[in-house]
Amino acid sequence: MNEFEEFKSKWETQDLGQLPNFDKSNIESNLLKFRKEKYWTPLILLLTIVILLFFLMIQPEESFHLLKKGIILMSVSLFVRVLFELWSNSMLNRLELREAVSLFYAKLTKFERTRRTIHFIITPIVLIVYILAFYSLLPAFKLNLSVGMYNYVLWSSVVVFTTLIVFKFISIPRELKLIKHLKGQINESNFLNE
Amino acid sequence: MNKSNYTDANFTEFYDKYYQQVLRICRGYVNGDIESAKDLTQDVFSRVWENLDTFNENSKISTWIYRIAVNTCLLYKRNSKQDLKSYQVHSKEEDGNHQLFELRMKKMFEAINKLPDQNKSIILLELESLPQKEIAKIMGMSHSAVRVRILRIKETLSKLVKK
Repeated sequence: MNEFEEFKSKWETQDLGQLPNFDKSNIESNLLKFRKEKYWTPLILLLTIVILLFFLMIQPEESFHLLKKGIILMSVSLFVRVLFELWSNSMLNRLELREAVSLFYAKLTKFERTRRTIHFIITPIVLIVYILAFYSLLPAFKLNLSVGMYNYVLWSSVVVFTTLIVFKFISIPRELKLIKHLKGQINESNFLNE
Repeated sequence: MNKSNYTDANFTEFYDKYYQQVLRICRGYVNGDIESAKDLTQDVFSRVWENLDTFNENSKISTWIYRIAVNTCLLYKRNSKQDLKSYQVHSKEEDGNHQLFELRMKKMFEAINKLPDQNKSIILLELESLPQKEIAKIMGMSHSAVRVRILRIKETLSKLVKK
């Protein structure tokens, strides 16, 4: 008997502990968690857009043209990111868990590629446009705000944007690991199918 | 039975019947870590519950549940932010045979973990002693393709374990 057959003969005798009772509330809270996870990002971004648009609306007619342009640019960049997130969510929703595994896997791989594009290309572009638009507002802030408030806005933005960029960089090794895994899977599968 | 007729009682029946099998399959995706496998099994049955209305009797309920189990595991692997824990060897000091068995289990789980995702799914279903025709239906492949793959995967696993 080879190693595999020996392992197989013991497979069903694994000690897995007691069968937990079926708990409907546990299952329902699990399902709620799955649904919530998908909508956090677009919800937070949409809320930011609403705040920005509210800020735009309360500006007096004669206020700086540059100020309005900056706020619109920030809102548009976030809106673009929301659209991509919703598109990616709709791709995820179209994944049918009850489908044949090979079909599901092909769709999952396509979804992963889309996520990588969003992470590596779309998000950095959105972030750069957002930061540039924000800094284009600084002259208007300087004119309209007190020195203390202006310094607060300036330095808090530096902290927030630096944190965002650092988080983005921290996530890169994990993303690269996943891409490497994905490429490995495709190569290996091709090899085994030959 | 009409699809809308599935009740809590039906679900409990499926849960009791397939929990252990699904747990063992999930274990293969998390390097043998039993606690992660239990969480993942809970996710699988949550998905089964969510999709129960869509089950039609053109396929066997076991095929349908295994598809959901394997696909949920694949999805979990992609979404998981944590690295896999390594297999915990539970050895009773006085029992040398048990210790040896546990070490072999650890090696085999590590070897399974190195397989490409779809091959991992095939071999875990094979370990559950499912007929190859049913594995083919779960995977959406031809019977002959599954048969050839199983042979190759067994060879690969044996080599990996011997290393």
